[in-house]
Amino acid sequence: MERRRFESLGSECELYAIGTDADALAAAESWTRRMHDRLTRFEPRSEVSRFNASGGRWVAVSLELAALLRESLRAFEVSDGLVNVAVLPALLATGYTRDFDAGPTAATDPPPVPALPEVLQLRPGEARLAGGAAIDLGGIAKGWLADRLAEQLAENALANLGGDLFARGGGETGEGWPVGFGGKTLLLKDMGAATSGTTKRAWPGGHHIIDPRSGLPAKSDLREVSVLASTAIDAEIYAKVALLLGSRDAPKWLEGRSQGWWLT
Amino acid sequence: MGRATTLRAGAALVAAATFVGSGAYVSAHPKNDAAPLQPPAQTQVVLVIPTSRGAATPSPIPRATRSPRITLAPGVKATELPGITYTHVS
Repeated sequence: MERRRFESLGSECELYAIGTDADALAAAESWTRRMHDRLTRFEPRSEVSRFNASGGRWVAVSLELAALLRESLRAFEVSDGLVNVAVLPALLATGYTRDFDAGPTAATDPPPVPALPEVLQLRPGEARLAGGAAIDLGGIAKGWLADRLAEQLAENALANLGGDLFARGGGETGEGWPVGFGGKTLLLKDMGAATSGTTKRAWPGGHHIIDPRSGLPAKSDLREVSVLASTAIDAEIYAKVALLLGSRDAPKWLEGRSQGWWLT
Repeated sequence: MGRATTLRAGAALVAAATFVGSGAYVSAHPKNDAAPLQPPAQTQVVLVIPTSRGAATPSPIPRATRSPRITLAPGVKATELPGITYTHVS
């Protein structure tokens, strides 16, 4: 089994693959880094930053950004608006305006969060974001990239990007890749997992999980939610919804959608 | 020269070995921020009970413990093996 660890997307990333060589993992790392450079909101020249600054015009977008914008609209629909990448202005109002290690800036009153379909439009090769709106692809990007990496690497591979992971194939034993989940080890085969929580990227009086209903950091009785789903991006969407719904309503919402969850 | 130098050299050697050994130990035991607390953390609710004089006295009565809950579909298998990786907040 080949393995590779590196820092990218503001997180620790891990790749595992059976039946391929170290060069394939090195190429996958390079691709992840290129995607980070394109999708980060902290670099003014990144594709996402330029899209956020496009002022309501139709602009050409890369295949990857187009796919992520489509997934963002789907996430909005699936989550009844709870997963909304248009929270960026509200997130900036909390003080999360720069790389987390640099610390928060002063908080201001949050603007209302618009419904994503009202501010984002897509057509082949192009996209338009309403003036004043801005997106943060955050966890959506990590989940989607983990799915793509596992798909590209090998028929038997696992990609974990900062906790959003997809296990493709059965691992070394064929029964599943052994993955830590809620204090247990599960054997995951063709399955994604993700965790959402308020325990990291948090500071006194705030954290990075914005509730689109209020535009403020989520006030949930849950601190962390881990979820299994058929893809990493769905696991990411479901985990965030469950966190925002809280311990009373999350199990009802997850039932029938997720193959497993851990609430704490 | 003789004994004093030997003692100094010995002390320096012990200090260097301690430095290298502790560095190796720390590198081999990275902190896992996302590992669940064991045993599960319990929420302690402190009730504020008014006294006969009207002042509030905190009473440390543990209540409302909530354990982490895991729910798995029948097809999902667990193992006693350690995981090669894990899902976590980032």
